[in-house]
Amino acid sequence: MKEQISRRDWERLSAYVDDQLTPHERSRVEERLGNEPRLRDALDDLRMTRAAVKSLPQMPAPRNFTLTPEMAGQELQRSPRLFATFRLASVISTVLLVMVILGDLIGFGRVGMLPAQEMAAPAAPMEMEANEAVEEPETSAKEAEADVGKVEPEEEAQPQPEAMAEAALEAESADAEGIEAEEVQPQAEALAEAVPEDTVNDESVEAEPELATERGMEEDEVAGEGEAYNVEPTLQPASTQGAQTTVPEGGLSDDLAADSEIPQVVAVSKPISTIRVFEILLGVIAIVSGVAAIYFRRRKHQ
Amino acid sequence: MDDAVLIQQSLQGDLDAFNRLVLAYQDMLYNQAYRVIGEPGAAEDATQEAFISAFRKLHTYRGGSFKSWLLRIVTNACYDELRRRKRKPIAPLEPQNEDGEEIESPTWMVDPGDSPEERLQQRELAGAIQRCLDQLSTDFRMVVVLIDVQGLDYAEVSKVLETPLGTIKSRLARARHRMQDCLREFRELLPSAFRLREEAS
Repeated sequence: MKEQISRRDWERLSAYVDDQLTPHERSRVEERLGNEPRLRDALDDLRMTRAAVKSLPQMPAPRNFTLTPEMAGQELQRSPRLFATFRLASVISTVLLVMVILGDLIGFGRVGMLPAQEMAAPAAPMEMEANEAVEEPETSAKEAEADVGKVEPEEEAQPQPEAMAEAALEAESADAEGIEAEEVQPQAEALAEAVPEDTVNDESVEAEPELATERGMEEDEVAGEGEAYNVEPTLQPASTQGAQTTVPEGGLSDDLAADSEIPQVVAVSKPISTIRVFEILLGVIAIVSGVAAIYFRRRKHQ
Repeated sequence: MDDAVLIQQSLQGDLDAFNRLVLAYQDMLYNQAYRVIGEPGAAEDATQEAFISAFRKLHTYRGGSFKSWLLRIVTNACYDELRRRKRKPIAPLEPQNEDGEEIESPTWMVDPGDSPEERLQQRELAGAIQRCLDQLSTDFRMVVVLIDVQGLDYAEVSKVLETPLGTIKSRLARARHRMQDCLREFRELLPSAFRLREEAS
């Protein structure tokens, strides 16, 4: 048959069975069909083939293809909003975090060295401090309490660390062998300059230069915490006084006492300041909102 | 309810209205996908994808035959599915048993309305025609199914496939010729009404 009928004739016959020819083409095909038996045979086969394909049963859908809101993307339409919200929250919290850290470093940067020093404080001396504190005589504890009692009224009128700073300065000029004292000096000086002399408690400073040095350290650490400067004075002297009584009665040299006790006091009495909590909070918000933004971004593209 | 009303409601985000359209056209779309792809699971996937795509692109519908518009979408989904199947191992047309042999009478071809002999004959004929369809190229198969199975005219198929009318005519004629050659191999399966002449005669 392929030899008998040309491709063009086959196309005409195909269109003829579908009634897709123009009237003129149709009349020409019908005229040829009357004269050419091979065309009639081909037309019969074509009609049977077409009928066979048309006889294919209609397959019912095996299930319903109705859409759920998720399929229709209605849920996903909310994702861009969530993505934008979390992205904005992440950016804002990150910027705030950077600003707070910069403010912390710049505004209070002069005492910024201390935290590193605190980090380097060994853990073992803490145990020593605890043991020594147990061995302290009762009288020392009473003295410490009495000192605290004296200090508190002064602090209400005047911040205690200022007095300590002045004391630290004097202690530095009298006996500045300890490394800690040397490191503290610039900060102590800076603080001392900002405080009028008449507000300083000279008695407590002159009596105990070592204590003053330690108090100066303590003050610096407090100052390093930023706003904590005026918040924690009542606790600081108490621990400092405890440290003071420990030094002479334990029989340790001044250097040894300074080396072993200053970090202990810091580690035991130092609370987490507000600014640190704020920094941590901002960091957590930045990370969580960033992760959420990434999640919604990916969900959108799924 | 009229398609136009349901379409308008669907455009306003009414998913229930669109799902009524889905129920009205799902048999047609599934048939198109099944005849083109030749495998029930893949046809289901293509049909579902087509409806999802139709809902998302409904705003691009500019009137005219909604059936043709849906057939264009399912045709594209079939092309996508066939491209995926090219990258993956192709499942056989006929289901296989545990020994890897083809099951002669798959359950999805059962028509419970006829006698066992008639059912057997229809299944064999349908299987033979589907095999011949599967042997065509995708472009030829699309044209044959749209015209002979879905009953579209040439102009509609030209729009659905976005192909010139002359190309549609040519593809259909050649596809029918190849189908005829293929079906001649199954001559004994064809009922007398479809019985083709012997090629030598």
